[in-house]
Amino acid sequence: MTGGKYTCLVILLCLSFVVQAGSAEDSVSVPFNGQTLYIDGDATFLRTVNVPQIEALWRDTQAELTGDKAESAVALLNEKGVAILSPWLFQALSLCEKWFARTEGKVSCRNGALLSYWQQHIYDDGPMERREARRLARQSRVAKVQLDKTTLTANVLSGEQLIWNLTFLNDGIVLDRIYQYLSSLGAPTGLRLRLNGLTVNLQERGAENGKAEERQIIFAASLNGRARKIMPGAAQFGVLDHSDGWPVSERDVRGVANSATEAAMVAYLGAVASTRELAQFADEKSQVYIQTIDRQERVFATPGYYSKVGMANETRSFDMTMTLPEFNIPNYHGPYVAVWLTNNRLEIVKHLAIRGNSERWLSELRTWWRKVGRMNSDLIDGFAGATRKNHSLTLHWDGYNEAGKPEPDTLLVLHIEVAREEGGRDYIKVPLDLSAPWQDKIVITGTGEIGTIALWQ
Amino acid sequence: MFKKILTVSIVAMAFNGYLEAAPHSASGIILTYDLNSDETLSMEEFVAARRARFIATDTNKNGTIEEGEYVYEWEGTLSARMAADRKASVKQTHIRFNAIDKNDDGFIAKSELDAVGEKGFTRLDKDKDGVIRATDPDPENTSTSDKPRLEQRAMLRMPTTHNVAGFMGLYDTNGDDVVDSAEFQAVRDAHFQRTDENGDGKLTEQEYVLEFEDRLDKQYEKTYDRQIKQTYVRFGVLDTDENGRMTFNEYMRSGMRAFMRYDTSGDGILSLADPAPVRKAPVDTASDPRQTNTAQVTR
Repeated sequence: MTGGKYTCLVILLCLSFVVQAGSAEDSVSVPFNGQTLYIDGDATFLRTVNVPQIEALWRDTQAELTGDKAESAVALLNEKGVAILSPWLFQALSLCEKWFARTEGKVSCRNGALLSYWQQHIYDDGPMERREARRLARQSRVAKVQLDKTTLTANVLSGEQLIWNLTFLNDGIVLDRIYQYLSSLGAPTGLRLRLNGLTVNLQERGAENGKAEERQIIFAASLNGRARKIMPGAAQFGVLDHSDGWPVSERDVRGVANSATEAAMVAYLGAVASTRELAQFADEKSQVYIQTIDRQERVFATPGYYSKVGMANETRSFDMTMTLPEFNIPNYHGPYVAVWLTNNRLEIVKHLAIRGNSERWLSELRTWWRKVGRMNSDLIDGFAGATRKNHSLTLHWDGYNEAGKPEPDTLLVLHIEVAREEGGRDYIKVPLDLSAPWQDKIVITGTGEIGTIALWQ
Repeated sequence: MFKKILTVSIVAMAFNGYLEAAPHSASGIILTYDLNSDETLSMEEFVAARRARFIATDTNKNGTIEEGEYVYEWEGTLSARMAADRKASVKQTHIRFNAIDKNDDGFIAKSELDAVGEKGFTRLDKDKDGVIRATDPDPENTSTSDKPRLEQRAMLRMPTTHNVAGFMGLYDTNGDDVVDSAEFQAVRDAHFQRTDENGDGKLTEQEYVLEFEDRLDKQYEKTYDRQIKQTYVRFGVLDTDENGRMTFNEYMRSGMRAFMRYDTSGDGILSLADPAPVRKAPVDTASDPRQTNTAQVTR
């Protein structure tokens, strides 16, 4: 090689090293109060991050939320019933109140008195009566609160003294503040924040249908509702249901939402609400998505969850509607319905819908009862909804089975069974081939208690 | 061994006629002691199971059961059964909510709750005079099956309107043994108001269930306290030589009486095929303060 060519090669090698160094990944850890925040991403960007600034932000947030800060807004609000809040705190409180109203208080930032009652029991050997816990939860729930976004004021209008407590959202609120700070520095795609079970992920969403690539931010929270303690040192497992003040430890949860605070909120909700209720709370409009795993290792996900986290199983998924005939009779009661999916060996792939929760009448769904119902009373407790007169039933299968995995079998059987109190009972099974996309809608005309079924992809 | 136990039990029955009232059915005994789960209970199986329970209760392994051990063991059983009863009762409440919500809109309107109340009142008002009296006969049992089922009677029981006595307990607020529709409706209205937390005139499932749980937990505390008190009393009764220690023979007395009562075929095997025993007249508790009127499963 000549000297000139040799020089060019060295320069090229140096340049490639510089390019690689500029896109090198790195990680920064920020410890505080026994916890650690991890920030992963582009090394060049991370070198611009002021770690002491992040620590200060964290300290300030924690002090404000726990009331340690002198004249903290939360302490003032609890003492006087009214306070002007900093924008981030007002935003967190507003979000909490919004979900409080939506869920009838299953999640609540108003339960400071309830939490104190539990702390006194766990740490000071105080009494623990279920009725008293429920009374405290009810007392906070019925209080009237006014939030004024113009003045950033929270005002407790009625009821006895309300003690606010946002500790179950602590990590989410901290993460949101830190993310806002990093955004102000121009946080690049690929940045990831991790704090306990919470993550903020700035992802590149691939180009689709001619649209340019865009960035999406995934705010996710994981909560181990089955094995965690309600508070350090407690004998009780799970989380406190804010609506009745009592522990629930039935599910592990992953929540995805529009902010880290909201992700923490919906993860908590996933641990206390039944899967039937979650399907109402986590809809496409609210842009929150929840996945739960129960004690029988059954995995449930609200609509759109797998798409949101980039794991859609579109080739296996389908939509279904079923009409139910109307019977013009006195004392008409809506039918009991079960819809479930099996493989060709009749092994359960997915429980899709149950209407009605009375076992007396669910047992009239004889096929379903024999195969599923009589052995899974907890499924009925958590998943079965009320009867809904003869309103059409609509559902979407996302291609995932009860184990939370994409279903590998492509030859499946859809089972539908309907029975009415003092009425008839009908059962139908529809073989489905999901090995190739369906070209046409599948339409089946049922008989008796089953109307028309339509299936499409 | 069998003859010895039989002799002991006959002697016990002769001298301990004041022992606690027998269980309401054989189910409780079978369910508690049927170790091989074949839904029948032979005398041998029963004695073996009682022996195993005696040994497990004797935590300090001195061959006798002291009062503390006896109460501790029963408290464990009591807590487990009460928790299961509570869970079943709450589950039924969710089912009841959906049954009352006739239009399936996810709420109970006052009119829907009133309709259920009216139906219940009418059912008890057999002579259709618009009034329920404490002396009125109970409604006929509309159960479609007389076949006995192997199920444990719930320990945690709420007042019921399935019979006149239960109805009077719930609705006879002025204690005059008569409930007319006005008195009845007043109680119902108060219930609705108490349940309607946000005062919007309709009940959500959560409102309905939480109000019920308040009453259920009050009953839970009352039942639990009473059961514990009775456990101390029972120990005192079974400890016939009053030395503060219960031998296995003393322990067996309470079980044998119940077993013999329900083994109506006398074949030494307890099963649902045994005809129901003839009910004896209730013992006069006023004359014997040691008698309890509460039905109890074999301890």
